[in-house]
Amino acid sequence: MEATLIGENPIQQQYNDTCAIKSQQIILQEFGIPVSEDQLVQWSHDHGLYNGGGTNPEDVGTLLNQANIPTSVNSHGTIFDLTDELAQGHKVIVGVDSGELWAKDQGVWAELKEWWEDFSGHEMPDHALIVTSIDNSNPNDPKVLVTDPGSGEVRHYPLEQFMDAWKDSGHYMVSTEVSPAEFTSTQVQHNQPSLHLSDIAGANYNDFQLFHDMSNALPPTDVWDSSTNHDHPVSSLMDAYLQYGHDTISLDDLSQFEFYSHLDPTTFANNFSDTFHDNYNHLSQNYHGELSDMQNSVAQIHDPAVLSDYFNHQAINFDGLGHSDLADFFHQQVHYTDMCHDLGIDPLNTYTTQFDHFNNMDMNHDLSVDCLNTDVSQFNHL
Amino acid sequence: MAKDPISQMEDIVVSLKPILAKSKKQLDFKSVEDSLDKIKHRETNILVCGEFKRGKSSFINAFLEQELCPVDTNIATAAVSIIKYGEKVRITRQFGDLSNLQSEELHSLEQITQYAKGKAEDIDNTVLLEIEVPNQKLKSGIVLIDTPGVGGLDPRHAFLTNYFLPKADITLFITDKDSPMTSTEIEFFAKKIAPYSRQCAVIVNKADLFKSEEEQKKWVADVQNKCKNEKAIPKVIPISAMLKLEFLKTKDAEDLKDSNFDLIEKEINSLSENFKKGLLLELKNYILSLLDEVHKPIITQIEQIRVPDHELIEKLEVEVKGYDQQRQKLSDPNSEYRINLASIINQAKNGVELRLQEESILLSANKLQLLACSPNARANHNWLTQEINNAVGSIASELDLMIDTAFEQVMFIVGSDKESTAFTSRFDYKIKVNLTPSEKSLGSIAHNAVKHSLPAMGVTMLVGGIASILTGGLSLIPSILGIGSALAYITKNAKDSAKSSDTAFFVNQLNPQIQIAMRHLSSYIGSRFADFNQQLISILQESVQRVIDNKSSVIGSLTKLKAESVQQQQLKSKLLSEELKPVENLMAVTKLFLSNPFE
Repeated sequence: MEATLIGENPIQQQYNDTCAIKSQQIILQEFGIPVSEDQLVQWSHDHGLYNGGGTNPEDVGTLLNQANIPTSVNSHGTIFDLTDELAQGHKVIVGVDSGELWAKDQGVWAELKEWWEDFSGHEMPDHALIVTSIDNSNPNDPKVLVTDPGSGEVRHYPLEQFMDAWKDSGHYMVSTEVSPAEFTSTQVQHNQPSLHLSDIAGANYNDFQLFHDMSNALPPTDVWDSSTNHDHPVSSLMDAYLQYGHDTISLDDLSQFEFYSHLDPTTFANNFSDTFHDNYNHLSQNYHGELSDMQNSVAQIHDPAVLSDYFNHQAINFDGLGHSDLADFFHQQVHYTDMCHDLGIDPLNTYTTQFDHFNNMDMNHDLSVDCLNTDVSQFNHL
Repeated sequence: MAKDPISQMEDIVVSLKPILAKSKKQLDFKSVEDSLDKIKHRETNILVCGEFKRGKSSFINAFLEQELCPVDTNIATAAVSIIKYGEKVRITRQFGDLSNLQSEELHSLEQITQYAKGKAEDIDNTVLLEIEVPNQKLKSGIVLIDTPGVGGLDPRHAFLTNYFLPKADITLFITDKDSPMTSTEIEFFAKKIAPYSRQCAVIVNKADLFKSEEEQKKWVADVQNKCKNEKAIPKVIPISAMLKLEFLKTKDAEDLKDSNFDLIEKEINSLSENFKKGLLLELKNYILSLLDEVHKPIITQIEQIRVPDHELIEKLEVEVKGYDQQRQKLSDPNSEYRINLASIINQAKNGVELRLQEESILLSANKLQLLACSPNARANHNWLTQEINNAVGSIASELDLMIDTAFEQVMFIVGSDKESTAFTSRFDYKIKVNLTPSEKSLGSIAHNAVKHSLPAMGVTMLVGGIASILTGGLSLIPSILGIGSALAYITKNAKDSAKSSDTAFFVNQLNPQIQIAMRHLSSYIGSRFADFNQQLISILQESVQRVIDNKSSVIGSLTKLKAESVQQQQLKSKLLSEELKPVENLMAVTKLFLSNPFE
């Protein structure tokens, strides 16, 4: 190993090519594992993961896995994927082109940057760092907070600058599949025992899920021709989301945005189908009677417009009863059903498919036992 | 930035709350919370001990960068000083009879000299000085305990050191470059520090006297060699308190570097961190065992739905029956289980009694003889009785130390964080005798027993024996000398070696009293072991009951499940899977806490 020792700072990498190792060390420490960068460098060296020339992208996460922290890799992530991981308290390392981030920095880092550029060539992802959070408080100036072992700083970058830097890795991200206890304890202290944040940039998590599902129904970012003057579809979706979160637009206004014309409705419906499945299962812990009733009712509805009214009625009903999580869930179905209408797809397909799936498991389940038996006929006549 | 381990553990505990509440384990959560609270507020007691004139007080002053402990090479430290952080200076002096201490507040740091050094009568029978000072080195919760020298004759010193040894989380044994380690020092380290201390290091003071690095290395290796035991080779750190104190005056960085105090501070911090980590790891294991109790029933039900084992309920019922029988055996004093347990405890008790016999002989003969010869004995008759009482107290504290350590280890094996019994009713028998000489008794024959080193039967077999009984190895009963064989050592040769008739009289008067005190002590040991036996049985009964309750609850859930339709079971399976998510997330996170696979 012929790396150069840079200096001491708890978040700064000690050698000029150990950004990925240092990022993993910071995460390991957040999980309560008292490991030093040197121990990790030594271990990586002994196991052929590091030979004084940085870490291969596919090896980022190996140290976390070694410590029994499961990770997942997304080699074409979107800002929504990233946000979703952060909302679940997961720790995320991304690959970036350091030049894009440090271009404005001069002085001590110029030498380091040069070394990197010499080593890996220009316009290449040459650096790994941790995305700590995304600050969307100002919809006109969203910022990404990163913990950067290269600069040894925790600092904000404008979303656009960050996206440029991230783009050079093809939006490569490695996320942990568990969250440190700090995240769950904060959730518990705020009386929100779910495993994700309840609110993201002004919109609730259920609405965020819809946008997330749309983001994965847009063309892959790396095939987008940036030479045109068109807004990047994911950026356009992000704009729409931030404005929605700040109540400047409603979901009805989405069609005005650039992304809308690129959205693949079938993929969106498929993505949402999984989201619905997860939410349904999660809520069935506390509300399986109410959800079985929903299943019964939906089976009797054949008109998407009636479906939307039914969901809306339930949302208002459960909101009134103080079951805000269930109300949010029904609101999500209202929004989805309405969007399906705009996109020209039938939302009933999503529900029928999912309920068929449930029914295959729960064949002939006598739902009357725990059903509320809502009379849905009133909705059919609306 | 990553939080410190205590804050990380706090996060785990907060996340644990809803999970345990859901499983109706609020009481267990309370005990987790209490344990964490104890750890958070736990001070780190650092006991500084060693032979006279090795520079213990100088070391403490140099560490604190404050001349707090009086340093006078000719007068020995006689009282224990407990130095801790306080917003303002506060000194409390405890004095008088050890079994009935009185206390008063002192008004200035200067008074410490008056009460810390000198003979008991010179320091007005001061036993303890509690000193609170606003010193930054102590702010993290470090408490320094300065003790009298270990090799002296004064039984009070030994008593005090014995009393404080088990209270130490870290023991620093001070030696110096002036003289190679004496046999007393080596024996003290081997018998008192190595077996009982949680963390320890040997300090070689006056390192400025080393002529070369080579000489220092050789010396350190020699000390290491003398102090090593089967458990570990202790860390040996050469320092110079003198150079550190010099640095405080001159600010010469070279002095600071040569004093090696940077290293000692690092070492103290690291020992202190290790100690706290140990406590946190115990709590981590406790939390994992509770999470496991929540996790297992859920997983068992999901598995049962997925791949039904039609004999599972029967199997579990057989297990419960087995545990129930075990519980009954534990309640029956005539059961083989109880007899074996009693036998192991009895053997451990015999080991302690042998040690008592040994100490008794040494006291009746050597120490009594030496104390009776002292001019103090003639000048003040109460002095001698008090010294003997202190010596008896010292033996009791030594035996308590053996017993406590063994009990603590057994409690660890059975997974109980309960303290062993009898902490509140320590041995406090006092000899009362009139030592005014009468004409008749003058010239009586004094007793002198041969100093004999009995095999010091520790109580390690208690730990091994109970570990084996718990794992089913009932036949493992270590052979041991009977108490009778110890009697053979009590040879009182009627040699008149008294230097004066008074001495002979004192010895003659006190010897039977010492024998009586020793019998009381023997009975005290018996009652401590009996209490421990009882406590151990109830802890074992409780833990068996807990297993029975957990298994019975699983049987209940499975029986209920069995009555449900396949569809209801499928639904149940989904609900259980959702319930499992936060439990498994927290289990994974808790397992990661303070683990390091890269070491």
